[in-house]
Amino acid sequence: MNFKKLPYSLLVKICSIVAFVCMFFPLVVVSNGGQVFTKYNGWNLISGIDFSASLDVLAETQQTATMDIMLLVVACMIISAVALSVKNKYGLRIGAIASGLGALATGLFIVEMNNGLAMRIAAIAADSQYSFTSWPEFSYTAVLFTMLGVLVLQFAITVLANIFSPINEVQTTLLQKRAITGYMFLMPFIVGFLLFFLTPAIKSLVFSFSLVDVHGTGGYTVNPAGWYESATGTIFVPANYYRALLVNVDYPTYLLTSIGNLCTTLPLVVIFSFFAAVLLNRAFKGRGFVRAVFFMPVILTSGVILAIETSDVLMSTMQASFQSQVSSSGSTGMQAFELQTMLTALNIPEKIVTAVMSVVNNLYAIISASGVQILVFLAALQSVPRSLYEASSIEGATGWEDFWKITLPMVSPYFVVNIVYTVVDCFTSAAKIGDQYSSYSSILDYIYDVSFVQMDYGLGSAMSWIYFLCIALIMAVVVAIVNRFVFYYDER
Amino acid sequence: MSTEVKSKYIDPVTHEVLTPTEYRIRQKAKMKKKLGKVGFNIVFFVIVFGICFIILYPLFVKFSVAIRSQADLYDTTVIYIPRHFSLETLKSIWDLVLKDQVMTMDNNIIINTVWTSLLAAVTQTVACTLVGYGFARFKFPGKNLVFGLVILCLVVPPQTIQLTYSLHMQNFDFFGIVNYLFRTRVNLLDSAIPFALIGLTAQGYKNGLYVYMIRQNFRNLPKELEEAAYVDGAGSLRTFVQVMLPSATSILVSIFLFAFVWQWTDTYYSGVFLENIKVMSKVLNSLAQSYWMAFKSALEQSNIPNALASQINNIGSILVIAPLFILYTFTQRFFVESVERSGIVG
Repeated sequence: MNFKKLPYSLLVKICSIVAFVCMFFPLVVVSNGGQVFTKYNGWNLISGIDFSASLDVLAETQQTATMDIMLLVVACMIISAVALSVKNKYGLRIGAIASGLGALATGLFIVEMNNGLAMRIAAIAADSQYSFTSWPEFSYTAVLFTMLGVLVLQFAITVLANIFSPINEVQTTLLQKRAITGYMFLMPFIVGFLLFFLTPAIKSLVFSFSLVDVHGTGGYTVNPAGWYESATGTIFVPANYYRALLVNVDYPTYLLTSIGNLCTTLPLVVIFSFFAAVLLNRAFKGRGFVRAVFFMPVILTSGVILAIETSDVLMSTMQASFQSQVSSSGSTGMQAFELQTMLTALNIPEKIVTAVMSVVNNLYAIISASGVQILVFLAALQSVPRSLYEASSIEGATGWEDFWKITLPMVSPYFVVNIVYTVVDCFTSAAKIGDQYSSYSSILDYIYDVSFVQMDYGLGSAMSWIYFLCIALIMAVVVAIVNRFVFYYDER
Repeated sequence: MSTEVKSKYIDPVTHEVLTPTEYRIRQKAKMKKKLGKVGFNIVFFVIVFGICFIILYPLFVKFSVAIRSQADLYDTTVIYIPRHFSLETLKSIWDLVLKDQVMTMDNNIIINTVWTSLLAAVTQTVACTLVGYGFARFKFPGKNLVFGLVILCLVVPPQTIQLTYSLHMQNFDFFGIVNYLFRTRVNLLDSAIPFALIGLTAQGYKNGLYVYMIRQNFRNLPKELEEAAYVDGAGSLRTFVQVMLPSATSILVSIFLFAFVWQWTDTYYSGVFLENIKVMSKVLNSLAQSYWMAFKSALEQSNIPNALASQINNIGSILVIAPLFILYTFTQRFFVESVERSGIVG
């Protein structure tokens, strides 16, 4: 059998997909409240972890270590899979090293799991509230199964690397060298992603599937709760996702309101920023000054200033009352009101009037939210090749035709960019959820309140993950729709 | 005689000899065109400067509110220009709240803010430049996947991972190795290290955006630059530092400005990482409250008057904005330039 003839990359791909699926195995266990392994007598991955200060430091560090080592296994698998797809000696070496590290980490993981379990069982035994009598016997079986699976996978990857990598091809080509240099340039981000994004994100995901009890000393206890409900002893406790969507009164309303707000803000911001970019792209006197002013909100109205200006409802009611104190008429609010009465007097349908009024009232918010988008569009407008306009003017096209036939198609990819950015910006910054719900300025404020004031971390994380899913879904839909109309001049 | 008539009705562009009627028609068309241009310009300037006004108006109002006396706050006839110019509120804020925090050497809010902002800006600029350059100029498998991860980091609301983030920094570790080997925990909270760490690993606030902007900037540079450098014997790093970086000054300054300013006004990261160390944004957030706490003892009233709170917040905003405003007036030309620069097509 000639190994060289086999579809090398396909096998590696299949292998890494299997490995990738396996990485989610612990998460599946967690998301089911530890119920996957009922046949192994109910092995729970992180059940009853107690970080409280009353336990000694050893137990605490072991628990953290267990979690982190699990992540190390994941990281090693990803690295080995990626490295092995680079088909040269470096790829092989990196892949082999990563696989070895992965195996080592799996070993650590097993040791830690056992130690950690022992510690936990001791801790739980001391606490009369829990009575998991059947714990000690099964844990080894389950852990051994996981370990075996991971080891077999690592072994398979290593063997595949040995067989299918072109070892005789010692000389790397220029392209391969450049690929490796490219990875080196990306290294800061990859390390940061694993360390400062994936680790907290997975922990937060685990929290969202658990009941998190916070102790006064700064420690906390995590109990698996799953999707819908969990029974602690005999008492029925609805789990976080269930509570967030079906029990909590405020959260669904806030969620829908902020999604509705996005639907009105998104087109306004994108269209306004395109309009402003087209305006600023013209040559006119004082362009430098005008550009400086247009980008000023990005710089000056950010973070705490923005929070104070717009999102902090307490403050804005203060300002509203302050304005009414300062001037009985003549303020902007009053003029907007007059515009509204004028429009209604003109027999314009009420829906249109409210839509126009929402634009007029939010004009400043829209302008200050579109600074970065204007920057992106301006750069895009500048990058349209002049030769296209020259050719069209020779053909006798007017400025109007130039705009629709050249400018818009050439700039259209940047609409996708700006839509993504606007959705992100709307959702992650302090977006207002409307005046009728005036106790919180934004849904993120509400989540913050739930997590850090009401001390319900599990519910808070569940809410923010639902929120994130909504963002991702909306973004995917909008981008998919817009992508149909986008024209790509050259694929680089 | 006839030559005189001719010279009167000559088209200024084509030098054709015209009849008086023809001449008048052309003259009219010209006037129409000119008027249209003037009208368009008027509309254009009204729109552009109207938007400028909308942007500048809140700043102006802030300033106007800040420099009036407290009596003017309740005077309904005073709208923009105060009747009594006075800095009494500013002075009493300074005496009651800010003096202790600015005039000491330990836990000085100005030093803390400048230090964290500079650190964040420098590290984020360096890391994002490297990553953005890697995305722009190299081809390798998995590039789109990693770029997708960059976008993912941008999309997940930072608040989602707020708690675990702070726990992570409180119990800092590199994949459990430190804990496993040394059995200790490393607490990084209340120090500047987390800012440097997340900066160096391109995980700071909106770093995905910076990576995207830098990628866009480097992408448009001609490939011949790189090839020439390679022929002359420069390695990848040398090409990056000596050939590519000099042409990216303006975008780097823009990114630096973004990072600096957004750290300066940030409350999220300083809330997660800093508990006892005070920075300006956090002080500003509770300025009205802490002012009233210090002031209350003299006046037996539990709630701060709305107008006064508003004035205090305006003054605080101006104090925070002022250095940024000065910084922006010096660096805005790089902003404008960075737009022009990214328009180079290779």
